[in-house]
Amino acid sequence: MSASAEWVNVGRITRNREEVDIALEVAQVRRYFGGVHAVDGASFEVEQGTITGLIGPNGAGKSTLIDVISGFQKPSSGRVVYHGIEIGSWPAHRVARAGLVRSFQLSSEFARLSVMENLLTAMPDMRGSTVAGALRGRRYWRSAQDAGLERGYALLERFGLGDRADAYAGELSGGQKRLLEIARAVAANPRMLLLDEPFAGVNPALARDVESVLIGLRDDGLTMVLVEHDMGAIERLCDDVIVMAEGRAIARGTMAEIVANEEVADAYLGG
Amino acid sequence: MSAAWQYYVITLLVFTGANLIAGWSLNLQFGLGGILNFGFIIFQGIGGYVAAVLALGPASASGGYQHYILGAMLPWPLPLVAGAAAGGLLALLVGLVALRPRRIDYQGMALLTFALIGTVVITDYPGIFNGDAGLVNIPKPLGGALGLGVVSYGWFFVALAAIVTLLAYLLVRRLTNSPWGRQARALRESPRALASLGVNVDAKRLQVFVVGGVFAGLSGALLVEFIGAWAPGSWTTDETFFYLVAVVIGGSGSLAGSTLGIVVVWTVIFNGVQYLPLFSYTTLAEAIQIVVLGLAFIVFIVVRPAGLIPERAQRFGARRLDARSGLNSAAEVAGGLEQ
Repeated sequence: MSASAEWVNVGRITRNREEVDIALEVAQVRRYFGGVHAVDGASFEVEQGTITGLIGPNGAGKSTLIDVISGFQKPSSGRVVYHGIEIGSWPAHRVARAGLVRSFQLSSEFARLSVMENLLTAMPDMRGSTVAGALRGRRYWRSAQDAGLERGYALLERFGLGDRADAYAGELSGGQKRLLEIARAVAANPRMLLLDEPFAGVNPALARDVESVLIGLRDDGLTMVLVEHDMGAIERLCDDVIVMAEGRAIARGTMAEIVANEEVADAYLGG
Repeated sequence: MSAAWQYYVITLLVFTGANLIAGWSLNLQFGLGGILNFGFIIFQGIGGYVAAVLALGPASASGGYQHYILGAMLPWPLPLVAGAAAGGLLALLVGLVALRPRRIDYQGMALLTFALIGTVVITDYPGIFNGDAGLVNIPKPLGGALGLGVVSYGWFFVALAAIVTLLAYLLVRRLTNSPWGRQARALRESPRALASLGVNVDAKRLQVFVVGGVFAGLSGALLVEFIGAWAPGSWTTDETFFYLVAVVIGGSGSLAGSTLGIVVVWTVIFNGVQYLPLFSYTTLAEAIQIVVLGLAFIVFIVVRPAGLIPERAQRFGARRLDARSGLNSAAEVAGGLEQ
C-alpha cells in the first residue's frame, strides 16, 4: 500500500488555481478513534458548481470524512474550509445553515412525519418555527407555509414522489426514502450537498431520473460531493472523481483517468 | 343534588382541568419532543409551591407555624402566573444538565434522579416549603371578596379553572399544530437529521422542555389554589407515571389523545373513585387502580403503542403539478438556491 499512499496528480488538478472558485478545501484532515486512523491526512479541493465523486474501498474513511466536513465529528487535526471560512470547529447545524447540507448513508427520514412534512421541516426560516411565532397562530405563518408547500410539491414531482406527499415517510420503500432524503436536503436551500450513497436501493430507472435532477441542480450552481459505489452513476454524474484509501485521497481525475490508473486499481484490490 | 355530591363534581371538574394541563405538558415534552421526562412531577410541584407562597404572605406574618421562602401576598392571578414561570425556570435549570446526554434513556434517568433528589430536599429541609408537613391555609383566589358559601365558591372556582384550562388548551394547540410543533416531532424522530438541516437540536430540545415546564407549573398552581394545601405527598413520582400512562394510552403525540387519556385515567379511574362521597378510599382501592392501569399500560405499549387516538401527520393532499408548465424547471425546484 505504500506506493498508493502518494498523491497522484492526474487530469484537471493541474489547472491554475487562480481560475477556479473553490467551494470546499479539505487540508490534512485526520480523524482518529483511539488508535484507529479513520481519516489520516486527507486533502483535496472541490470546485464550485461541480459534482465530485468520492470513491474508495470499504473502510477508506469516506463516511467519516463526510461526518467531519458536515460538523457531525470534529477533526482530530487539519482544516475544513468552506467558501473561504474555516468550519472545522462548527457544530452540524451551523454548517448546514451556512449552506453545506449532507445526507446520510442510512436512511434518516422523519418516519412518523408525512413526506411533505419532512420537506417543510427542512425549509429554513419558516415562520412559526419559534415559540413566539407559533403562539401568534396560523394566520402569522400560513402564507410562508403555503409558499413552502408549492416548493415542496415541485420537489416531490422532481424526485418521483409526487403522489406520496401525505404518506408517512416511514411507509416509503427503501429507494423512495433515499429520494426523499435528497429532496429534503435540497429543500434546505443548500449551496453545497454532501450525498452519502444516495442511490443505494433506488431502482435504476428512477435513479437515472434523479441523476438528471442532480445535473440540473449542478447547472444552477449547486456544488455536490457524492459518495457512491455505483461506478456507472459516478461516471455519468461526476466532473471529477477523488479516490480514497486508508484515510487519504490517493488520486483524482476524470473517471476515465481513474480507471486507467494502476495505483488506484491496486488500492481497490488491496494491492 | 346534595352538597356532598355537588362538591364531588366540583372536585372532579377542577382536577380534570389541572390534570389536562399537566397531560398536555407531558405530551409536548414526551409525545412531540420525545423527551423521556421521568421527573415530570417536580415541575408541577414547584408550580404549586410558588403559587402557594406568593398567596400566603410573608412567613413571619403567619405566627411562625409554617416556614417557607419567597413569601408574599400577590393578587390573583399573579401567583398562578408565577407558578407557571417557576415550572419553566426549573425546567431550564434541570434541562441544561439532564438533557446533555446523547442517549434519551440516560436523559430520562437523569430527570428521574433530579425528581427523587428534589423530593428528599423539600421533605427534609423544612425551611424551604415547610418540609414534610407542607403548606396549608393557602388563600383561595378572590375567596374573601366574594363572600360565597363552600359549594357556591366551588362552582365559581370551576368557572375559573375552565377559563385557565381553555386558555392553556388554545396555547398548546397553537404550539402543537405549528411549524414549531412539527420540528419538535422531527426532533423525536431523528435528532441528527434535524441537525443536518440547520436546526440547533440541543436548543430545540431545551425549548420544548421549558415550554412543557411552564404548563406543568401552571397545573400545579391551579391545583394548589383549589386544594389550599401542598406537601411532598401532593407530587409523588408515582404520579409522573400515571401522567405518562394517560398520555400513552390516549395517544402519545396527539392532543386529542392525551386529552382522552387524562379523562379516562385520572378523572374516571383515579379521582372518580378517590373522591366518591361516603366512600372510604382504601389502600386496596388504590392497589387495584394501580394494577389495572399498569396492566392496561403494558397491553397498550405492546399491542397498540400509538394509543386510542394516534398522532396524525398533517395532510396537505397529493397534488400533481403536471398541468402547470414550467414549474418543474430545475430553477424552480432549487427555490431559494443562492448564487
